[in-house]
Amino acid sequence: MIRSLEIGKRALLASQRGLDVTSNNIANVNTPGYARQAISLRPGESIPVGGTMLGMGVLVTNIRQFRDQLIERDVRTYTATQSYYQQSQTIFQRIEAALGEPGDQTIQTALQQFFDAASELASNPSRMANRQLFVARAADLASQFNRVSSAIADLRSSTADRTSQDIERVNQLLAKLAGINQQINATLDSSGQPAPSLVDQQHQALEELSAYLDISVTRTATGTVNVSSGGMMLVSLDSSLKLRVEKNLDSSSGATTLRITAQKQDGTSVGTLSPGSGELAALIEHYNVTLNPAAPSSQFSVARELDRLASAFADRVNTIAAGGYGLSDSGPTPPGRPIFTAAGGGPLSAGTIQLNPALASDPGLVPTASAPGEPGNNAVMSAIAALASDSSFLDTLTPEGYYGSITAQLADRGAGASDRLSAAKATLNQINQERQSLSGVNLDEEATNLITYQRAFEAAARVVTVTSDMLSTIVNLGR
Amino acid sequence: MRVTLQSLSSTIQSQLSELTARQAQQQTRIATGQRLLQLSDAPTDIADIVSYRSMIARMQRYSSTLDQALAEQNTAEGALESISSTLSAIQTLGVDALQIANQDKWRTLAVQLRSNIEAIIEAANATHGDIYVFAGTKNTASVLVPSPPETTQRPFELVTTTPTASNPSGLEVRFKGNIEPRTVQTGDASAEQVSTTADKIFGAGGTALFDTLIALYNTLAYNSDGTPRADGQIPSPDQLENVSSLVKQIADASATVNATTAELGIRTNRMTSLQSQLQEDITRQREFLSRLTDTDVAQATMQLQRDQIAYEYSLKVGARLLNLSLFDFLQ
Repeated sequence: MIRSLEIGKRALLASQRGLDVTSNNIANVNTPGYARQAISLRPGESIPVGGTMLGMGVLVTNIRQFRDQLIERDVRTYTATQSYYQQSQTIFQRIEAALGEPGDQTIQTALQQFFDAASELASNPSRMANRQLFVARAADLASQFNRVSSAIADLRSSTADRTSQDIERVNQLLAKLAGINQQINATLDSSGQPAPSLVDQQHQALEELSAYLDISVTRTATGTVNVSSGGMMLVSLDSSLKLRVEKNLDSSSGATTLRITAQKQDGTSVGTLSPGSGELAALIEHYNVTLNPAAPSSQFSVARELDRLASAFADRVNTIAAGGYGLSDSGPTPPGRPIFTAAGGGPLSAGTIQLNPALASDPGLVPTASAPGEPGNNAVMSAIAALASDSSFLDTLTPEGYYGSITAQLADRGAGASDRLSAAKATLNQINQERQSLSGVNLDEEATNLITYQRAFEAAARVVTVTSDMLSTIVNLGR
Repeated sequence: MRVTLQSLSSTIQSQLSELTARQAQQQTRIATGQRLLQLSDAPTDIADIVSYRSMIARMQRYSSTLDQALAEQNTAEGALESISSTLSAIQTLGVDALQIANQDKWRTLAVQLRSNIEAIIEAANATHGDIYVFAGTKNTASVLVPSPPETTQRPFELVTTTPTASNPSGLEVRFKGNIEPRTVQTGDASAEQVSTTADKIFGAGGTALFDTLIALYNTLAYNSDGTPRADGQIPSPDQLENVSSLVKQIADASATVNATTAELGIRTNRMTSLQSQLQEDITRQREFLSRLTDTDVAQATMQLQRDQIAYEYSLKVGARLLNLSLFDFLQ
């Protein structure tokens, strides 16, 4: 009889544990990173009774989590890819906004208005209103270049700030993972398994970390993880590296680039980290290349291309203007007055180009004539106006054509980032569905489990009651 | 495959979010009329769009230049017609002077001739806006500085200098402009001359015709010895021959003016025709550009309608799927 009571007790305990796990699953139905759990049951050891082997009820061996490490690895890989393209797309969209494309307030519009004014002035170079319009349009064009250049510089600066913020969060996550490793080792259960809640936290931290950089995870038998990126071990057991963003100044070009360096907690430098993918990779790539005015010519840099366009344009216009005379100029040698100058006296670029201040105060000085004392002579201004259709201006393109090639490359890269982002999102969504299919909590399933364990509990309780009644009958036999 | 509440809700959420974004996009396209809301919407079209815009801007620029050139040429044409007509009157006057009946009226005819010369100078000083149309590239008052005996800041001026044996009246027409042509760009690889230079109208140096006219005036108004002709005085045979020769020269000059006027007319026709061509090209290029950049409103409206229906049914289906679970049926 006592054996029956023991079997009943074991069944009651198993059902209770089952109900506990089911309740926990239901409670965590919306918890991010949670993987459903289930109890593992096994029959109790059989014992010999009267020449036969009798089973001793049920035992709970452990609580297992439904998690597939292969799927988790894919989730991390595609999270990094998605973050990389998401950030790239955002940066390209912000560059488009800086250029004002597609819209009416763009460098192309300013170029067209400049050439319109030059053409108008060539038609009647002595008319002061035409000179004032030309001066205003030249100033507008310079200010458009300045505005776009400044917006791109601001974007570059905010990219650096964002990188620093991301690095701060990455350091927190690395420290958190090292801490979880420590906790896991300290709280292993009797079967040497880590606490499921710690594993959930670990996976959540790894997934968040993978949004910043491409990581590789190695799992030990006890459930702790070693995390590396770009061949550098970032987390090993309970120790983690500390990352830093450093700005390098190129003395020849004067431009800065970003790099991530790693150091141990004691401050010893470990080296430079290449994030491979993720948000940090995108931020650094765009800071160092797309937005860098001193980026190598083999890579597309919108900042460098705009500088090239602005300086080439100013140089060509100034070269033509150098041979020209204004209304009041005299003498056999032209005054060599430029239309555009560089603010601060530095090299001409999109950021420094400005209208020659002398022309702003006296439009009569605008060089239009090829000979002095000829207000109707439009040879110089006609040559400036003809630049609009000069297909040898830069790389066998007209000024507007060259600007078009910049926007086309930008559009191509933006669309590429957008397409790859969509693809990464779709893949990640599919992998997440697979993960949900395995690890997610299904309420109908849990409700069924609830009934199952409830009925099992009721039945086990009935076994105990019946056994108790039988014991009572036996105890009362002698009365 | 197990389907969980979270996978169900995240799928529904992403679908609803996608449909909302698409509706917002279509709505913006309809509201703005623009198909391209960002460069990456059509990367392959961007180069074409920039190219079309550039081409249209250039053609509009050429069209505007032609507008101004045509206006200036109209002024020049009017002045040339006036000069031509005055020259015809002078020719008639010269022929009249050779008539026996009029040989005693040369002094009166000289007065008429001077008036005609002044009329031609007035026409030669025709302006378009603030520029003198026949003054070459020195065409504004600011650079037409008079030096005595000149008194005006106009390109052509009749002045009186010290009389000489060959020029007893001392009259002389001074030209302060130059004979440099002015051209404007009317296409990527074409330019047109917009000015008519003084030498094309008035001969060498822009004053040869005036020298002829003044010679005729001197012959009519003065005797061979340089004394003023008395009323009713009959001219000598030499003077008659001189007048005859000068009238012939004036006839030749008049033919030159007419030829220049015709040349101007041909140029004006060419420019007018070029401008019409440009307008047609602009319309055609705008149509190409419109195909790339403008919203097809009917298509966008239909797409919006489809997205709205999909959104509505996604909401309905989502609400139903998420509404029920086994818990609703547990007692």
